[in-house]
Amino acid sequence: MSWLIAGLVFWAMAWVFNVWIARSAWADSLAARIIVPVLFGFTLVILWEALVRHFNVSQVILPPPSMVAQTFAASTDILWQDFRQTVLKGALSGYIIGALAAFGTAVLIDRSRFLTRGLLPVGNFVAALPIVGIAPILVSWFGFDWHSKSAVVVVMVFFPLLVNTVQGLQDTDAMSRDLMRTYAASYSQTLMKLRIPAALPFVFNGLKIATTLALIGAIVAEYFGSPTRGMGFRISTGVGSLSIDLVWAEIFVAAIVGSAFYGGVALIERRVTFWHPSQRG
Amino acid sequence: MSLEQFWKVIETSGATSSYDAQITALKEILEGLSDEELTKFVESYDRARDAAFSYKLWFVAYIVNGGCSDDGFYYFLDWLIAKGQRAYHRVTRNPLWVLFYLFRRPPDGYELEEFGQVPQQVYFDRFERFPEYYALASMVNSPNEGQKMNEVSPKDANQHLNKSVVSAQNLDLTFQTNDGPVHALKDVSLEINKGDFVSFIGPSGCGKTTFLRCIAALETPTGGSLSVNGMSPDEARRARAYGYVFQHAGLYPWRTIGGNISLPLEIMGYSKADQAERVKRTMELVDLAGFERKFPWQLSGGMQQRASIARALAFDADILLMDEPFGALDEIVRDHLNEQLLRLWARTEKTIGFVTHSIPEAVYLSTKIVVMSPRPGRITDIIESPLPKERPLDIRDTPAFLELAHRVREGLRAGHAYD
Amino acid sequence: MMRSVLPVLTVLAVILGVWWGAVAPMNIRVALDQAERADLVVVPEGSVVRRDVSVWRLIASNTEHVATGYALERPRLPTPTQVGQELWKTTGAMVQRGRAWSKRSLIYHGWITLQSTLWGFALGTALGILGAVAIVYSRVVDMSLMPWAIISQTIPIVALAPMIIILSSQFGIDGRGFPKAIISAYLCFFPVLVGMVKGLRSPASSQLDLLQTYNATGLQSFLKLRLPSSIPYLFTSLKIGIAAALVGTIVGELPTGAISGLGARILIGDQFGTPLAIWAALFAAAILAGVLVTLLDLTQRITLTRMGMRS
Repeated sequence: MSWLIAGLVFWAMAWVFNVWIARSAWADSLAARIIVPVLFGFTLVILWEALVRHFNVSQVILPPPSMVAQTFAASTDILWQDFRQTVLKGALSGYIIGALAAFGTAVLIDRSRFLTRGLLPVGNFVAALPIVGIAPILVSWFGFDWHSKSAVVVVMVFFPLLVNTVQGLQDTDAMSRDLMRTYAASYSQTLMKLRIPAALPFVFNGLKIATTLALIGAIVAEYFGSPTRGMGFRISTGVGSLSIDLVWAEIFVAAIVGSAFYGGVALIERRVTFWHPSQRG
Repeated sequence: MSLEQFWKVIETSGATSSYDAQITALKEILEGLSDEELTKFVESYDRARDAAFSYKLWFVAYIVNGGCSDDGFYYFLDWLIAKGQRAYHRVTRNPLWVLFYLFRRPPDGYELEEFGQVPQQVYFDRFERFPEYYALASMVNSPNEGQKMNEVSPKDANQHLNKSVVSAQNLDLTFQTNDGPVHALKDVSLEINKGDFVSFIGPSGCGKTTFLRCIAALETPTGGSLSVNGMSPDEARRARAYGYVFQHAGLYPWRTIGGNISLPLEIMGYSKADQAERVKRTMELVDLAGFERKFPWQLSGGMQQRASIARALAFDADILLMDEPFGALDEIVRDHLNEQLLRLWARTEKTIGFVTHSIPEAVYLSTKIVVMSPRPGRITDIIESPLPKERPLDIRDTPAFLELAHRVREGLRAGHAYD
Repeated sequence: MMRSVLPVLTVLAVILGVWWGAVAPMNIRVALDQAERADLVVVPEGSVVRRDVSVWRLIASNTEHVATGYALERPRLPTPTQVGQELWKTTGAMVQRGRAWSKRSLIYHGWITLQSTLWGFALGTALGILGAVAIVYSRVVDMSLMPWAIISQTIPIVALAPMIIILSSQFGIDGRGFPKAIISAYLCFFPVLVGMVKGLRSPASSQLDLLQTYNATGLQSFLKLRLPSSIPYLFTSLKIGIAAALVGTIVGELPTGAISGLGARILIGDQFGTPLAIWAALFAAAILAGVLVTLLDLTQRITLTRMGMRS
């Protein structure tokens, strides 16, 4: 009983504290903007712990966070191995190849109004499709190791990035283009000095969307066959062998990696497109 | 020691002497100058650079006539044209480049003797694309005034060159829209002379911006003829004959102010050192010194617009086309910028085309006011301003100014009587 | 709109052409193995030997067997026509025989997927809209929820999928539809949340001030101003949301050993080595996505025209 009460009390206190901060004079300070969400997340974890302990939920169904933390600490070597297989080899390589391919294709296609008009609707449509479904086909083409995962990621990130880049390259206003005309600038000069810089906010938008897709692609592809390591492999076998705590540890890693990946790209975006109104605030 | 002596070296050495020997001799002269003399020399050089085009050409003519034979002169022009835009530009922007082009070895496959055999008409045909040289060449070849080339003064050269910079005859421009054709310009004829400050004024839809865009080759007329610097507008655009200032500053937010101003310079292939020098100079010209490293969005609207003017000035085009550049700014800032613009125009002697919808602005700035009216876009009146060149802001309260403003207003009303 | 038809058709034709052309190199090895088993002449002989020969050489030296690659039963890459035939066989042809709801029919599996998708979409949209209202009206919720909403989307949902299934079965919720709906709601709620927050905040402060001068209540200003002005944003995010919901359902079906649904067809096609089934299911999913987005698009046009927001 005490666990439940403690959890609820903590929840109530955290809530009151957050309300107090949000209404206080420092609500807009950086510290407040960090403390409030962190406290919110922390409360969720405490509640989870409290509920699991109070209702005596079996560990093969939902282990308490404390146990997940213990497992995490005890199996860092496995987690590291899986991280390397799935994230570094599969997701990251595919992400980079897909991004470069999409960017190159966009720049090439951009020269033709006709192709751009045709490709944008198609690309938009394909970007909305459940492309993950292609994973089993690519695994059968490229084998079980990380190459097939990389291929899945390439296909998944390609279209959102392509669409974003093509749109970005077209996002220059008539005045800026006229300006380049008055300088008698060549196509490549206009591209390098005007259109690519102007497209960067769009490109980064695509790159941010693609971070999550890359991880999803790499993990799903592992469900269809992988060597005996990798996050997807560990999760699917973990569920079967009832080592749910390890699965949660992997989920934790995935969450951290996903957020860090996204955060990293967002950070680069901030550095590169510092001039954009959305980044100045 | 003076500029004359500097030139004398060029005269005495002639085309036969080597470029290196010439440079050495010139260097010796420069090194022998006292600080005061050097300052004077640099000042005279600066004047030559910033003064009207004709003055530079006179300089060229002087060097050419004294420094080399007639053959050499044609050879020089031929080579200059053969060298293309860049050489042509360098010389017209900065006469000292002549030294570079004139006294270097002939390019491969060219012998001086060959020039005697080419009919002069060939050169004249080529000169037609470059009216300044045409004027120069006709001076050399028709000594009806009994003048020798080295007696030609800048003033004389100026007279020869005082032709129209922009010449439009019966210009038509019709846009095809879903609601039928729109006559943006109908039967527009206008001459803009060197050094003019021409304002285009009229209600929206009268085609004033369209006309400016035609000059800049951003629109293509559907009828009539239009020439800029004796070339077609598109050729003039490719020769980078003008700087264009838009209604909105349109600075690239990812570049600093300095970076924005050097944008055209990068595109036109100026050297890094030249870029830095020009950015510095033009920023001083528009009173923005010290803001080089700021980003556009960190500056006020007036400062941004000044930076965009600096951007148009950076590559020293002789024509400045401005499309309601101060339209989005408040009255006080606008007055200030108008005053600055006049000073800048006096200093650089550029030819300016200026679109506005403010009567006081047009009257205050211009030597020539073009009143236009819509449906179809046409010129209803062209008013030569009797106001003196020197114009303090309070000239706007004088009777002469008010009378002129009245005439412009009448012209605008007359145009409106149609609808 | 009409101007894009020709370019789009061209792009599609190019894609089909590349696809068609790729079939030959992709399938030549399988085709040659099959021909060899049928005692036909193959150069060089033996699939192990052929492994070291490039596909282009194989095509050049076995031109008569290239056609075989276009009609394989289990191709590595099926031709577009094969996929089309398979689609027809599992949809239209089964309807004609009155077996539209057979377990082999893609209509049945599509329906299963559609159900979960719609449930997830409804749940995600509801959560998204409620969350957006809470965020717009409460500073605490804005500060605590918004960062986590963003972080939640950076977590690869597939990692969570098996857990959601275990949990939901433990809490006594049977039926495989529920966990899939949860996953699709998880993917769907974010675009709706973000779009609605943007939409609810879109009225200009002068418009809000106007209602203040009328002394309007909070509810009135919500119903009269904020809600109507958020509708265009809502539809835009709904279109993204429904596509995301479908992705969520299929992702939910893939790793969980589901036996019905389009994702399950892909899984089963993989396990039984029938590539055509995978391809047909993939295209069925694509068609389903297209239909859903188009339907929403139509609703959007009609609604906005009625509301006078669209000229």
